[in-house]
Amino acid sequence: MISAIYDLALTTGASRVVRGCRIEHVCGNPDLGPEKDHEYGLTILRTALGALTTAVTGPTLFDPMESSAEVVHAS
Amino acid sequence: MRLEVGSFPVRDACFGTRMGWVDGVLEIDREAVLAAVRQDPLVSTVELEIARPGESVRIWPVRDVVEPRVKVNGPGVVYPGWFGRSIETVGRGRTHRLAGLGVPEVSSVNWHDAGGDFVDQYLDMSGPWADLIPQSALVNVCCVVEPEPALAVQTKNEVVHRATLTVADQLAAAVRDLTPPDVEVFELAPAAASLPGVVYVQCVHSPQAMSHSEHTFCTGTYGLTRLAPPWLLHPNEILDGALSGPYRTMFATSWTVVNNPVLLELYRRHGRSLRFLGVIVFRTEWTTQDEKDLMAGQAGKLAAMLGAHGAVVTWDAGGNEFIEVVHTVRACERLGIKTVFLTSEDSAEGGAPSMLKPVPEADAIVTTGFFNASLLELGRLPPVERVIGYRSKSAGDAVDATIAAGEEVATAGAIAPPWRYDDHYGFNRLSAFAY
Amino acid sequence: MESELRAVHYVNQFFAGIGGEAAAGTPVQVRREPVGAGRALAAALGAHARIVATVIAGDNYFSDEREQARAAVRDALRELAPDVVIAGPAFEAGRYGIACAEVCRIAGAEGIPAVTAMHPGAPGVLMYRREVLIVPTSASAADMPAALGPLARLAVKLGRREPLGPAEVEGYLPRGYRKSGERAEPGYKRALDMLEAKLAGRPYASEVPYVAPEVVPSAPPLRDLADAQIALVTTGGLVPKGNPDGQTSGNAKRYFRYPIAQLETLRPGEWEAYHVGYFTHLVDRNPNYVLPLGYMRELEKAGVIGALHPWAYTLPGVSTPVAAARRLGEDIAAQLRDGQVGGCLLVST
Repeated sequence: MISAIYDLALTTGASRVVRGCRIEHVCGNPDLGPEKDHEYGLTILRTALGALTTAVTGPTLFDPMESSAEVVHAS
Repeated sequence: MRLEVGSFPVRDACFGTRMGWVDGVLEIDREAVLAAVRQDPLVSTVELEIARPGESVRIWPVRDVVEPRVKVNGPGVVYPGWFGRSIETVGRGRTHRLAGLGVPEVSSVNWHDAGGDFVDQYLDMSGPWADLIPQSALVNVCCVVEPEPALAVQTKNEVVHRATLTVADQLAAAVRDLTPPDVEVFELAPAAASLPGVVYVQCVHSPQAMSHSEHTFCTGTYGLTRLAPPWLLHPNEILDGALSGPYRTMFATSWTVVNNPVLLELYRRHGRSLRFLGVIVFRTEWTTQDEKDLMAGQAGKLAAMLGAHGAVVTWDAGGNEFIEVVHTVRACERLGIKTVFLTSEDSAEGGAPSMLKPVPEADAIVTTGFFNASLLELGRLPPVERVIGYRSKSAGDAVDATIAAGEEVATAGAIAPPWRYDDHYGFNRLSAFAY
Repeated sequence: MESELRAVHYVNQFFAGIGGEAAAGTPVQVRREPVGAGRALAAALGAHARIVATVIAGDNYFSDEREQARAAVRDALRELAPDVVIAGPAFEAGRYGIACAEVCRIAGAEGIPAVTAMHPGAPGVLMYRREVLIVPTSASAADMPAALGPLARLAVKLGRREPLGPAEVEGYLPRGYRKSGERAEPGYKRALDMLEAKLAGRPYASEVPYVAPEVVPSAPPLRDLADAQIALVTTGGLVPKGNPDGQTSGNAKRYFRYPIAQLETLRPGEWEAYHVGYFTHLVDRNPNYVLPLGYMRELEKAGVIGALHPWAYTLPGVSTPVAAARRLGEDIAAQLRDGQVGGCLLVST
């Protein structure tokens, strides 16, 4: 599950939750400009796919900002 | 801050040649009121119509209901901050009010054009819906107004609400210089320190996220509807209309906020069983987890700084706003502030939980029942003899998939209740029970 | 004066006075009178109801010879045709509590109202609380007199086919349903009264009890992502431009699926978000924000995933009751499983 308001997902039983950007643009950020927005989106997706391959024992949050080697800063 | 509120009860209103209040009857100089509204060149059409309790009348649609109030002395104006009205801090001196009268705002203007929000509330003056809605017991002097069609939607909202406030101002002016039959003094006098300090956290929706604009019309704090960190208001400011404007249900209107029974009861108990410390107005619908949690934490901290031992939390209901509201309850509890949460419930169909997010710290909940009006088993509301406002409406399909988009229904006929009944401030005894 | 109801009482070997654990294998028997603890129950029922028979079974018999025991109880109830069945009280007993609940369920299937009583922590409550009416008791059988009053009263009400009021009024454990009703005082007063009670340390009852969220066992991790088929789902209400299938903007009663095998990305102007819960314009400008097809295609081409599932699933999540969401989720999951999907990304707004 990819969601900006990830806390609800974690509390209601979703096992693998990936932090999205904002409700109105979950998998990206239009304020970053097209190139950085695209990078950010890919980072989120890669994090999500990584989560699918990770064993978890309960609801777990995966934060794209922490798991990416290239840190994408929101402006 | 000491405020005297003089109440002039209204049991009927009529159009006449002068403005006056005599023995509970408000005589209205209709032409003078309309002339005042028409001073705004952006008003295209405006009419006043009276609806009385018990009549077979439906007012469609109702965007807001405003109680006429006027400052007799003390700084500022009632309903401050809107569209150029004075922003001076209110809540002091003397205010007069027409008790038992409301000014419904009737217009086809929608809140904004970003999609998602639409006007679908209405008032019946008799029948099963009237029995549930407090404003049906008011003498309603309706402001039926349309702005110039070419205006941007934000400007249209401004024109419409300003017109309503003008009508309210004009009506209230009739009693400004009269002696009220009843005066109540509102003052948070020093009280025994042994009494528990109680804060009221009033959560109100900001339309900023849904409309992507800071200026969209909705419930406002001194006319500001934008997302902002929590405000601290003296309850007297609220009695002077510092928190006013509508959000989507009949229970979130200017009228219900100045007549909020939670606020009034806290005042009544001040000095007797508690010390009423103040009102934290918490704006909601932040769109990231961090923003929601930041505001909740700050609200809790603010309550603690005020010396709260207890808190009452209400909200004007929505969807993901629930998260920051219930996190505020949790933040207060974690700071040792005993909290009660007054709220409506989601459908419990199939044994599902009726709160969006279960929080163990929210262990003192008072429920005003299901907000989805279709769960109240009202069926279609009975047809009426007269409609004030629009004779037909296109049925919104937003959350009611039973009506095809674009279908027109006659508002005078047997129509479905508005999809939300949401008694935000606990006016009624309707609730829900576990079975 | 209403006619006396005919009640059947169910007890185990111990409360029948037959014996303790040694007698736990007692097969189902029927005695045409109150037996053992049933005599106190008969007194509690007074003139309102008469225990015309007691059905007795050993706890082990009921548990070990499940089918036979159930059939015997069912046959007995059919023959006796009582107005109401009363089982227990079982207090905190495990097997006995489950047997009592099961007897009530059997009675219910025969159209006979039934009620039992046990401690809220008993296993029978956990298993049967949604289907069976259970009066809460303490854990100790020494409290039998206190338990019988509410049990008898409820039994008479059920036997008379009177409408059942809320749990807190009638004295049974809530079964997980909620219905509208009026309380004695308006909400604002109840809120302030509840706060004062909480502040003073006096007891109060929350009108909406805390319900712990469902614990969902986590699916095991995907072993080989590069070989896996991944599907995309969203509750953001994404639809082809013009909303040709008439998706509602909330309160989803169905989901939609769209073929995406031929698509490299989702283009603005071809898709839009129809959803009343969020500002949709940004998704209209870049639909990949809620259905990240473009990104997934890139990752598919780069070999990170084996394949993108050819169907994308969408629905408008806002204002959808939990029960409906559950059904829709189960349906979608079944479809994905049939499609040999290994992993799924669900984007929520």
